Amino acid sequence: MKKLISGSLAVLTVLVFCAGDGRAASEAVKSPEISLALEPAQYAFVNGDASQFRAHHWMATGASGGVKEFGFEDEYPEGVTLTAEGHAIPDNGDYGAEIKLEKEGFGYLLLDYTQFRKYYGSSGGLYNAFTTLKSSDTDRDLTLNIGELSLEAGLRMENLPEITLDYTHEFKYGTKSRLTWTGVTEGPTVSGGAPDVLRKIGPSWQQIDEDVNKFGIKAEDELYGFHWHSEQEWEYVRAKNLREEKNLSTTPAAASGSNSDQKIRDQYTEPRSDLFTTILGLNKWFTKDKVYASSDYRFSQLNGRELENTLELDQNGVPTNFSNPETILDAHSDNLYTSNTWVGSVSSFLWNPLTVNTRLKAESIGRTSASTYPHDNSPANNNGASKPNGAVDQIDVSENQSKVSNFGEGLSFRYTGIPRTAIYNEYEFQQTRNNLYEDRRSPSAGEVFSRQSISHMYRGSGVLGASFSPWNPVTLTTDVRHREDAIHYNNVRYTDNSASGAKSVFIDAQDIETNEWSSKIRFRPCRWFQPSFRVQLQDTAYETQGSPDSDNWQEAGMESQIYTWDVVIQPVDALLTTTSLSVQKAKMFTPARFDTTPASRPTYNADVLSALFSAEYSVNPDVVLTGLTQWSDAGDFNNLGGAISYGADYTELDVSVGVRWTPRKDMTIEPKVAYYRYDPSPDLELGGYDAQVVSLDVSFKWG
Amino acid sequence: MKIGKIKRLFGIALFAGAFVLVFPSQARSADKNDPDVPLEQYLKMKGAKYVGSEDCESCHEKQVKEYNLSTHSRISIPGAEAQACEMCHGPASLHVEASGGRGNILNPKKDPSACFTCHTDKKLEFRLPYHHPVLEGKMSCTDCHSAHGEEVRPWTGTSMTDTNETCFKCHKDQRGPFVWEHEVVREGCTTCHKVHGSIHEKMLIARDHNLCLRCHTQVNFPTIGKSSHAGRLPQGTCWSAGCHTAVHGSNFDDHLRY
Repeated sequence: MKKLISGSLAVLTVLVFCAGDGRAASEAVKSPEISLALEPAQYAFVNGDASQFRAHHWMATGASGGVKEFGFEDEYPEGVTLTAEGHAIPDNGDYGAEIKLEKEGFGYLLLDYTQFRKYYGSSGGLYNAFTTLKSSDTDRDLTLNIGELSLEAGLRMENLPEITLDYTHEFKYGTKSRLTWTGVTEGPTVSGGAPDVLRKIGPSWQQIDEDVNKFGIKAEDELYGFHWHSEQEWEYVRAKNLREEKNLSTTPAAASGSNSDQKIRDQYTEPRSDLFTTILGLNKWFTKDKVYASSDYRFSQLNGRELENTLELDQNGVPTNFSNPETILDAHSDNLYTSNTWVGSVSSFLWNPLTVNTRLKAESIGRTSASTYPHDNSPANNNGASKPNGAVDQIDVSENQSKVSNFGEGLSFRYTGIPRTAIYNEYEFQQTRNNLYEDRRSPSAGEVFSRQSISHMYRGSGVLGASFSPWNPVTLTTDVRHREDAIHYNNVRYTDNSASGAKSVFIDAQDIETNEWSSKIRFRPCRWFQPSFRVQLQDTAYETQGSPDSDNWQEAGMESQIYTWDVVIQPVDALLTTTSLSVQKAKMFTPARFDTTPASRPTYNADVLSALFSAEYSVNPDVVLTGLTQWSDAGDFNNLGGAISYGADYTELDVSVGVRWTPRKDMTIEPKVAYYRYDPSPDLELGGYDAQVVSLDVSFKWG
Repeated sequence: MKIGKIKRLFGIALFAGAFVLVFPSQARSADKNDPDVPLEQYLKMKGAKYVGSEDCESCHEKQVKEYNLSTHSRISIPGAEAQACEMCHGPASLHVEASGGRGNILNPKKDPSACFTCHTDKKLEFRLPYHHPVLEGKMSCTDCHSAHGEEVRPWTGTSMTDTNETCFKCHKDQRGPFVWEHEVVREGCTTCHKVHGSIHEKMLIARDHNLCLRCHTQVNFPTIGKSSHAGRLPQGTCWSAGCHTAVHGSNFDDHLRY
């Protein structure tokens, strides 16, 4: 990482030095423009769950500061320009630099570096009936640094093809949270002296160290009136990950041996992939730019491999085989994925006011996959000190492949023959055939699985929409969409039911139908008052046909309604306010809502109400006051008693006020104070926070 | 008490009357061509007029031609005040008069506010607790959407790239291919994730088992496949530890356990 930053800074220094040198040799066209915005001080005081605050606001807690924005622009003789911009807030892991050196009629050199940090909440779930382990926190700092460094060189000379070479290094390192929450067991402390109760609410995390190197070359030019373009890209991904799941329990440690309800599972993976992509394309505008036709071909080959080792440890970190052991030694997988894709399009503007677009797609995909999964099962002993002996006792071998052919057709019309109206109508169809072979062999009968399934997927969608402005102050856009997906599985070969295992295929067909309506009206009677209203309704119905009763279609669905009001008010030039209100109502329901056992799941609601008010007021040309208030509220908790409950139930409030003061033409000072509050229901989360953030930005401009 | 009520009503009537009187006069005096943008940008672009995309084409020919083929072009209304390029980039007269330059035209690539002018719902979705960091300036709308391109939504049945390729640019660990695929991933990440912002961690559209049970449902629930899940479902979600944790696909397990 440090090498990358040093490398970037070195290149920046060389470029600025070279540019400066050139300017000294011959007079500059004009003096350079330099701007610098510093954030010399920011402090975030958090009372409550600081990790959750960081995750919600992508912001470090405590003190931070640095360069918020740097800009440099200069022009040199012979059409040479140098532009640079960047920022660096080290405490927040936030860096960026973009340097571009360009010579008109020759080409450019571009260096781009970005890095930012993603934060995660460190707690797992919550189960209210527990008294001791109601909610747990991992002791790790869950942050992931994400970034890339790219170098691009482009040749832009007359009478030569445009050629671009680029190299990109992407990286991710750190630890992220996972929702694969671990088992937490509480003993007879649960009311009524019931036996141990297990709920999966323990936090889980994954350490990631991923590097990607990409090389690309692109070329494009005109030839006999045709525009051709070609791209070639090579991408190499290498990663090393560790995923840990640590079970928690109130059960006292056994005098000898280990408790499986306190086991730790560490999964070490080393995924890698090599991707090779070629794109060739040709397009042309015909008949005085009234007809456009294009043809593009893409070949892509992705070779992915993975090495995996899994260790199970007792609460003291000693490798242990529990019952149903999962100690895995050097598991390997190999996937080869090849696709050939062609897309052609024709667009016609010949019959004004009617525009017609057609698109066709044909694709063939082949995937060949294999893996071996060696288990070290012995000695196995439930809740005993059973250290794996290092010998492979069982190997599961998977050999799968699929051959996919995919066709797509698109047809769209746009008609503007009605004054101040644009009407559009779009259709899209897709047909996919997937011949899938899956075979898993194992000495353990329960692990054996095989099937050959030929699936056909037919998809069709249609959109009818219009954009309409009867007079300048009013704009109305509206569209209705309908989409249908029908998937049918022809299960040619499959593993039969056994006493312990299921039939390997149990879905025979599925139909998914979606209807959507979206409309927005915007009213601008004058500049200072501009309200708008948007409505989006969506309804999706799932019908699934499968085992054990193939004649019985099961129905599930999703519905959502989003209403958004937005009004911009600017009574005078100096005051601009925006008010937004959004009501989002969503629900998901499945046959599980009719079940009468503890496995029942009622309809899941995901409603949220949000409001936003922002204002900017220019007291005089040198002083601007800014303010923002945002509030959102969700109350979607389903209390299921003994079963674990989920939902979102919180109130969130953000308020910030600031002043942008320009004491001199080349200087701006901006102090800001912000307050953030997140107040979740104690039935769902123990987190929540109150935070105050104070910051001071100072910016300078030269040239 | 009664007098107070009358005074309040009188006050409201006076305010409403003043509003009615002032409103049309303001409407007449206001310049409708002034752009609808943040104050700082507004003050910079004050007085800019709409000029039409023909002027844009003289310098940005490639972008204008590309735009004419794009999904966005379909909502441009002939005869309306702002058309084509200026629907998103704002009135361009100052930019044209200055023969280009920055600050005198909107650049949605750097500032999402231009996109939020129409996509008002997204502005609030990006403020929900779990969201992609667009408002924080770490990403921009154009990282996922090609506003000029033929495919603003690059996941249609006729697009050159795979359904999820936009997501896999950053989330390579979910790309696979896997020996044991989860077929729904081919349908698109948005089947389970609300990608602009969500009230749920990992931007899920629903946080509980219903997310999976939409498809994995059968008449003898809580049996799934041939295995009864009656005891397991009350313990935690389908993707909780020890169960189907490899929801995006697995290289080793047909039940997507590892």
